[in-house]
This record gives sequence, C-alpha cells and structure tokens, in this order.
Amino acid sequence: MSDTRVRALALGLGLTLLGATGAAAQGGPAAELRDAAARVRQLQRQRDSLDALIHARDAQRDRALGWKQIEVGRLQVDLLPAEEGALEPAVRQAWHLVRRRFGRLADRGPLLHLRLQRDTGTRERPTTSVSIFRMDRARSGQPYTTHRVVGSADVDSLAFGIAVSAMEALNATHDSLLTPWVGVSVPLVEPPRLRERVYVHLVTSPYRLARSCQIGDVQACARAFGIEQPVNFQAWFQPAERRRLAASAGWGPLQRSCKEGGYIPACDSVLQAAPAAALLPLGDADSRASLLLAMLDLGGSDALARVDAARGAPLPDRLAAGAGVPLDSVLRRWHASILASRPQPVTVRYRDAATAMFWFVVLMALALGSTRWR
Amino acid sequence: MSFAIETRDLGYRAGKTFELRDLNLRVPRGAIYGYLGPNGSGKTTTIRLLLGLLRPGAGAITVLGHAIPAEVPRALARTGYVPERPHLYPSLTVEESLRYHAAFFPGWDQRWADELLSRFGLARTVLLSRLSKGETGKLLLLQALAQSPELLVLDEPTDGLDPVVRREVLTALLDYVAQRDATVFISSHLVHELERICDWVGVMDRGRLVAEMPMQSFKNGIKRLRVRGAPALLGDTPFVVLARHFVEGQAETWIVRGWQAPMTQYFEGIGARVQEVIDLDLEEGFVELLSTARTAPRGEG
Amino acid sequence: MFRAILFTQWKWARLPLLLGIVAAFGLPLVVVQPLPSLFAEDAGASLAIEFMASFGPMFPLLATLLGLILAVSAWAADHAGHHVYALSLPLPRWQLVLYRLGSGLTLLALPLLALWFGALLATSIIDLPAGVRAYPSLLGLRFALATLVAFALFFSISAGTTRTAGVVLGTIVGMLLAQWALALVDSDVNLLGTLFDVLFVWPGPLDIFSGRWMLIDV
Repeated sequence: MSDTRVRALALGLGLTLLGATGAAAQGGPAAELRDAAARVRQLQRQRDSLDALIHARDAQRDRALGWKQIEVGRLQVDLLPAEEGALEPAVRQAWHLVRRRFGRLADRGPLLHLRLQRDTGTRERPTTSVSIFRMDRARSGQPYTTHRVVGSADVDSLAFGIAVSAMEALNATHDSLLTPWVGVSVPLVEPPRLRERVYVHLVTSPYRLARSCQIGDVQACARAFGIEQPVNFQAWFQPAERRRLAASAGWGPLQRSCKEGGYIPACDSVLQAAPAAALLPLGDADSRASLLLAMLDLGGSDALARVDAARGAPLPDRLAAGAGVPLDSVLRRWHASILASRPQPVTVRYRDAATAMFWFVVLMALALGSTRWR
Repeated sequence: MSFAIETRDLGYRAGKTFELRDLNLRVPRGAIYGYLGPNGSGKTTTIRLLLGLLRPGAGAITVLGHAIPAEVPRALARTGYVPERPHLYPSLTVEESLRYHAAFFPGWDQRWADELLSRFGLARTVLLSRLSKGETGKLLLLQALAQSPELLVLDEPTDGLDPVVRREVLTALLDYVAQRDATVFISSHLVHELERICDWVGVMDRGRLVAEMPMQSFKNGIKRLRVRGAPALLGDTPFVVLARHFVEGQAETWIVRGWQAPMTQYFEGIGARVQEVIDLDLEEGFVELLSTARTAPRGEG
Repeated sequence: MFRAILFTQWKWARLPLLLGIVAAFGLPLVVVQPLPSLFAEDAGASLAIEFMASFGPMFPLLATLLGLILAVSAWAADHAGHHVYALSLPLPRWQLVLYRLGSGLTLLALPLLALWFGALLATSIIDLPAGVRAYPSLLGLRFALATLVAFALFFSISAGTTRTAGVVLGTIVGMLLAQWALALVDSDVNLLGTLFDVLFVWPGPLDIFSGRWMLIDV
C-alpha cells in the first residue's frame, strides 16, 4: 500500500473518530449519527479524489516510461513495448495454465494486474520480474507479490512463473484449496515426489488405521485423514497405539503417567487435549495436500470453483463437490495414485545386471585389445 | 654361419628428424657384438625394434630364429635385456623384484641369482627406489643373467657407472658368456670398453649401419700411413682411402681401411713412398670411420 | 605369474584398498546408526527412509572411487616406466592385461565382500518397524556391479595409450567448452544432459549407478 493511500485512510479514520467524539460531547445520539455519516461520506469523497490523483500520476509515469498494457483473460499486463513480442506468448500460456486449474473461478476472480520487466543486466542469466497487483486491493501501491523468473528466453518457464504468481493471488482470495485444513499453503502444481513421500509415510506408519487404509479401506483412510469427525481415539486406536500417540503429543505429567506408568486413561486424556490433526496418521500436510490434488485431478478445471461454491459445507461435502464424485471415490482415487507412486523398488533387475555385465565385458575386451605399441 | 639376430632392410621413422634406414644387421650366434655409435645414432631404437617394443616401419627382424614382432614372447623368453634407463618397479624391494621377474622365466636360476646378489653386495630388503645408480645397474644385469638367456641385449649397461662397478658388471657378463656360450648384443658409445670384450662390431651413425665386421678386422684394417711423393689425384687403390691430410713441408697423413702389408708396392707404382704404417686403436678407427661416413655421398657406407 | 602380478598390484594399491575396505564395511554401519532413535518416533520410519535416501549417493561414490583406484594403480607403475618392463616380459600383451585384470578383480572382491558383510551386520543389529525392509544383499549386488563397471571403465582407459586417455579427456573437455559456448549464445541445446542420458539411462554403461541405493526401504 502506498504512503499516500495510508495517509488518506489514517486521515479519514482520524476525522471520523474526532467527529464521533465531538458529537458525543454536543448532543443526542440521532444527531450525532447523522453528523458522523455525513463526515464519512465526505471522507470517502476525499479518498476517491486522492485515488483519482494517484491513478493519474501513475498513468503519467507509465506514459513517460512508455509502458504498454495488454489484457489476456483476467490478466492485465504492463510491459515495455519492446518486450511485447517475447512476453506476450508467455502471458497467454500462463493464463491457459491458470484457467486450467481455476476454471470459472479465474474468469470470475479479481482482475490481476501484472507488471513484467526483464532484467537484462546479466547476459548469462537474464531474469524477468513478475509483480502482481491484485485489483481488489490498491493497484498502485506495493505489489501483492513479486517473482523473479530466470531464463527469459524460455517461454515455458516464464509462463509457469507468471501462472504460479497469478494462482497464488487468486487462491488467497478464495481459499478454495482449504489451506487451514491442510495446515500449509497448498502447492498449486504438484511438487516432485510428493506422492512418493506420502506412500512411504503411509506404509511405514505404525498404526493399524494406516495399515487398513493401505490395504484399501476407504473409511480407515477418511479417519486417518481426519475427514471423519469427531476423531475417536479410543475406538480407532488400540491402547498400545494410543500410548504411542500420546507420547508423541508432547511432554508433561500426564504424558509421563501415560508413557512411563502405562496408564491408559492418562494417555486418553492427553489425546483429548491434543490437536487431532497432528496425531492422525495422515494428518500431515503432505498427505492432505496429496488428497486435495487427487480431488483436483478428478474435478477438472472447475473443481476449485465448486469447492468455493460449497463454502461453509462440511469438509467431506466440499471435497466431494470439488471432485464431482462421492468422497469414497475421491479417497479411492487418492489411494490408487499413492500406491502407484511406490518408490522404485530396491531390486537389481535382470536387465540392469545383464547390462552392467555386458558393458563390463565390452570394456574388458577393449582393454584386452589394447596395443603393445607405445 | 647362423645368426642370433638378423635384420633385413629394417626401417623405422620417429618424428620428422630421425629415421632408421635399410638396417641389415647380422649378429652371429655366440658372438659378443659391440653396437657402436654416437648418441642419437639409433642404437636404442634398434634394440627396441629387436625386442618388439617398437613397431618396425619396414623390413624384417629375426631374433633367435623367431620373427619379430609376431613371435616376440618366444624370443623374449630366451633373451635377457638390460635397458638404457632402469625400468623396474621402484616400489618393490630387491627380493620382491627378483621374485616378480623370476615368475616370468622358466629358466630362472635361483642359485646363480643368489650368488650374484652376494657378489654384487645387494641387500634383499632395500627398495629399488633407494638403490644407487651402480646398484641398479648391477640388479638389472643380475636379473638378465639369472634368467639363463641365450641372448643378452644390453643397452649402454655401464653408462654412468664408476670404474669399479663397471668392472664388476663386465666380469659377471664375461663369466656368463664363458659358461653358457650365449650371444651378447651390447650397445655403447664407450668404444674402448667394447674393444676389450667384443669379437664383432657394428657401427651406427645417423640411423645407418656404416660398418659391420669382426673386431679383429676392424682394428687391423684401419691404418694411419705417412706418405711422401704421392700425386694429388689418385686412380684405383687396393684399399679405401678414408682421409688425406696435408701439412706443408711434412709427409702426408693417410687414413685407410682394408690395409695389408703387401700393398706398399702400390705406392712404388705411383712414385710415392710409405714412410710409416701406424695401427689405430678402436676409438681412433671409430672416429675416422664416422668422419668418413659423414662426408661420403648418401647411400654409400 | 598371476601370483606375482597380484602381489605387485596389492603392494601398489594396499593403502587405498585397506581404506576402501574399512569404508565399505563401515558405511552401512554408519548410516544405520540414527535409525533406532528415528524408528522410536511416530513418523520416524519415513524420516528414516528419507535419511537413507540422502546417504544413498555415498555407495555409488565409493564404488567409483574403488574402481578408479584399483584400475589406475594396476597400470601406474607401467605408465611411469613407459611400459618398457611390462613389454619386455615374455608374454603376449593380452595375457598381461588379463592377469592385471584378474588381479584387480581379486583385490576388488575384498571391499565388495566387506560392504556385503557390513550391510548384513548393520541390518541385523536394528529392529525394523512394520512396512520397512532391509536390502543388504541387493545393495551389495548393486554395489558390486557398479564397482565392476567403474573398474572396467577406468581399467580400459588406463590400459590404453596416452592417446586413448587424451581422446577421452579431450571429448569431455570439448563437450564442456561446447556447452559453455552454447550458453553464451542462449542456445537451448543441452550437450551435457544428452551425454548424461547416454551414459546413465538404460542401456547406457552407467545405468547401474542410477538405481535406488537403499539399505533400508519400504
């Protein structure tokens, strides 16, 4: 936010408070309210005129710099005319990526104002800075986010950088990716080896619930994710497992009583008090993010729009709405994708062994044929 | 006569500056053949060609009846080799080096090796990298002799050794030859050393063999003559005139090859007179031979 | 003859070889050290797998080093003496190479066995939780194959002439320079990536190196 805008808002708030205080000192409540409303309207007018002034100044500066504006979907992009040829295809590709992930949500979302400027100061690794100004906030202040995309010659990487920046801005508006449930910002593009990590996490979990989920019990998966509420530790976990869970929940007199004394009621008390998500076998961010990505895969480009539309509904309903299929199907899809992501097995295939021996023999034959003439 | 080493029109080129051309060597079996020549004349190159260490560019090589390089291993099994520069593995001890070397030669004579070891005063446990030059030279000869070879190829074996060590080495060599009737092919630029032990001599210069003959013929055949009254231009001579030196007011000095006593009659025929016939030692003969070879037109020699 | 050649190669390579044997035996024991405490934690098994994966590259690195050391040491003394001694011995060149190769492989067997025994020992002293398995023999086999390939590669270069080594080195340097030149003109051509694929992707000679080097895994 720019200093001018901050000053204008502070001035408005200050005047409002001043007016309200003055009214309280002078007369009855109705008159005071009328005066206050009049002052607010006056302040709004002042703010609007200041905004217009700021926009005019920005436009004047942009004209001086020679910026050109292009619009692709909901992306409004400022760029230097000389760079239009190189950057415009990247912007189009970026919008395509945004559209594919956010669907209708992108079309309905706020206009995203981007400023693209290449840094050609270093010849070997040129960068393009992608500054995003969300239009629901002030356009002319500090950018909402700025990314630097390395390798301006590569349209794909530039498009990807622009798309990620734009999607982050959009996601912050909608919370369509259920960030609070996952616990961290959900990756818009699946990070490498995410499902592989979840596979390892699932198959090495010491809990029976995870084992059941691993062999395909979707209800167990829903419980392990914490989708099924309320979490019932006593029913879902055996005493030894609860003792283990409680031990990992922290350290205190109850935990000591649970862990060292083996006193199960103490363990249960610990579990009741602890945040469930942190204790459940699939309550971690990676696992939950992988479930959301499975839901997005199922739901297609409008999945996020449907999740957003179901705002306020219980989590299972939102997931099902996004995927466009029942929750069980989402969980089955997730289960299949995770099992398919088993890390490359630790085996030496006959093919690999034979290839190694083949090359060994070839190289040895070359050595045996080495000349005696030096 | 059978030959331990025979080459026919052997040729080899190394880079742009050195070439071995039309080398026709014949080393008789049982001979001690001195291979003479100045540094860079092609002695070491010849030896490397004989042992299959270099690939000949032209011609044919036979060593102990084996064609080289096709039958190199069989020839090497019967050949002891002492190279110009030590080639053994410096991280081995004397004992380990002997054991390693013995493994490759079925005719290895351990008793003879032990005797030489004690005669040369070499300690078994010393690393080769710690040996002095003389000790290394002795070890190299020891290894070559103990493998009981029919042919010994020695490339400057005494070069850089002190006189005492040189004598030890040459004595051991002669003892071996006396006992086994082996052939020795020894290269050196130390002419006087070969003079005492060789019975055949070959002389190399600039990649060419300029002479090959029995040592006795070589020593006897080259004479310095003091001549008076000879004409400036000579016709056919019964000997080869290598050089004529004129000194004002004195007798001319002639260096000739193929001299025999009855040839004094030749000078009477041309109205001249031989005042003195002087024997040259091998080194003087060698020097005169080389200087003649270098002034002769190409192809002669 | 073989014993004599084996002895010399042992003498030349013994110090790095002994270090290699210790490293091969010790590496599996070292990498499993933190596992018991990791397994005690709730999500420790997956952390342990990550930990093992992070140590994975140590095994092919050790295999490469062992192959390199034994291959180079087999020929270093001959290179220093310009091969005069080796070539003046009464045996064909191929037979000498075969003996040197056999000796190298014999010596190489020591660290390979050391790694296998180390891996067996390391995995026998820790209790593995459910879902986690130990692969000492498969790791040992992969290590052995990788070491053999590395040894063969360096051995064949070492047994060649200086010119052969020059051609190999020149090719690598040439590709690096070419890649650098391409980067200067903003070209997308990835020569080194292509070379990497040719070497490390099946049926490339170094394909065995690109597998999963895990002593403990799911």
